[in-house]
Amino acid sequence: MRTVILRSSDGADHIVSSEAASLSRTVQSLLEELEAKEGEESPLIVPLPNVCDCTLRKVLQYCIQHTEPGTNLTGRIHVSETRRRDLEVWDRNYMLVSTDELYHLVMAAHYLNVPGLLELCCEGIANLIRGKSPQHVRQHFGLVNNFEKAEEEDIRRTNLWALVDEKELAKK
Amino acid sequence: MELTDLDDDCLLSIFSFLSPLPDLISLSKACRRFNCLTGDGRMRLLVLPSASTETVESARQAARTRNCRQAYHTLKEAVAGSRPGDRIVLEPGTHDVGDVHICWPLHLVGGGQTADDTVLCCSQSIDGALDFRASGKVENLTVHSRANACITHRQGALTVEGCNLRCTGTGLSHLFAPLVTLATLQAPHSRGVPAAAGAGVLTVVETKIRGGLGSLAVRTLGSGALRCVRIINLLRGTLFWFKVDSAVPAAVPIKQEPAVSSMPGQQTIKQEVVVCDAVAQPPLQPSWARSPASPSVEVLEQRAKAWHMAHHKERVTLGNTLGDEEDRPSLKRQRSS
Repeated sequence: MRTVILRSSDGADHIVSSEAASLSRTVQSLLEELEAKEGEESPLIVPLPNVCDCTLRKVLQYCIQHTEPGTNLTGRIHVSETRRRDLEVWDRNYMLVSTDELYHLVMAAHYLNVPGLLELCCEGIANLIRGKSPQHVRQHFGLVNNFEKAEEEDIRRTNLWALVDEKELAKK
Repeated sequence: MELTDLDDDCLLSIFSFLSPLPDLISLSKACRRFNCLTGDGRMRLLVLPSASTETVESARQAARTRNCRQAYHTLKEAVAGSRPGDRIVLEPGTHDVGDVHICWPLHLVGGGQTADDTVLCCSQSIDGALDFRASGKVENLTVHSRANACITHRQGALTVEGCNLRCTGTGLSHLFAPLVTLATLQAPHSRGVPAAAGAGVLTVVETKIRGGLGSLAVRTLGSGALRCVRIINLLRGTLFWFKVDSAVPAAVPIKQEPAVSSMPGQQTIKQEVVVCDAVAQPPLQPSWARSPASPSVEVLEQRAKAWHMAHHKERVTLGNTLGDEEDRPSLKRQRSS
């Protein structure tokens, strides 16, 4: 299996298998270009100027875990089933990070175009937002209410059709 | 790093995991940027007009090119794939619909410049072309039904705005109307089966309603009565504004009388109030009329006077002052004589 070197924004090199690196579609397309340009023999170095070292390390953890031998196992069904369950548990533990790290991960996953990781992170952040009132959202995420009176009234009116039920529920 | 430091694409993919009701609406109220993002075209669902080639692949292709979260070929599929509070945009053209049951709040919008650009055609249906069992909004659409009601309203707050409703059924045209509301406060439960209708408000704003000669514009089968009716007769069609609230029944039952009749030759709007047993009110009559022993004439007069005093205070006081002024000249005359 071929190895590639991913260089983060602060110059740190990470050596990974090309299979794991190809989970990122951005890296995959870059690799194809490089291979066409430099041939099969020379070492492949992919510079990633938008990703810092610690985030890249975290992303690569995900990529390696998800390309470990066993994911493409076409053997018996229960093997792939247990593997899938293991991965789910691993993903859940993987998402136990600080909010700040989560934001960095989302940015990196979006830039590197890793669909599975992006989905995982977005769901994580969506879970933070879910079930909060506008005031609570502002407080929690440090937002400033920059609406004018007229705008606020406009939004209230456009959403009025949907909120009637909510008011009735609140009364109960 | 904060949530606001993320770029718009990241935020949109995060928002796509949230349900529009109530999370996205809360977000839209939080700040201006979130308001723009939640109203973004990429959050909506798209329904493509009826075409000969309707495959999953072509819908996916359209979703990629047309700036939307997902694209569907029929409204039924879009409703099935939607979440509460979603906005479903119907592309200009003709759509075949029928018995579209809407069980959670949805916003249906026509994508054209005017309501005439997007036509929902219904040739066969049991419950009407669109059957609302939850709050909703229908905007900028033409609904043309040949078989049953264009919109059936059962529950929740439904707003019909800037639409064009046409009902051209053949046969027993008096049996169906473009709009039918079944919303009622006392929903009859029968043997544990959920009720077919619940409390609701139907609001119609600036909507053209057309039907056969002498047909109904709206059939009120629930507990509510027609209110706040406004009509503008245009050269082509009639614009309607009205409201039916299941919590506000008619004060006086109207029996088979046209509440508002428009010009001869155009459709009339009638009202049918079916008073349910639970909502039935005692007939309006003064208390003395119901007492078994009829009182004497004097007592009746006294009571009538008291009732007048209670109900027309201003008029009584006005009458008194007028009476005084009338008296004064006569007094003067007496003095002069």
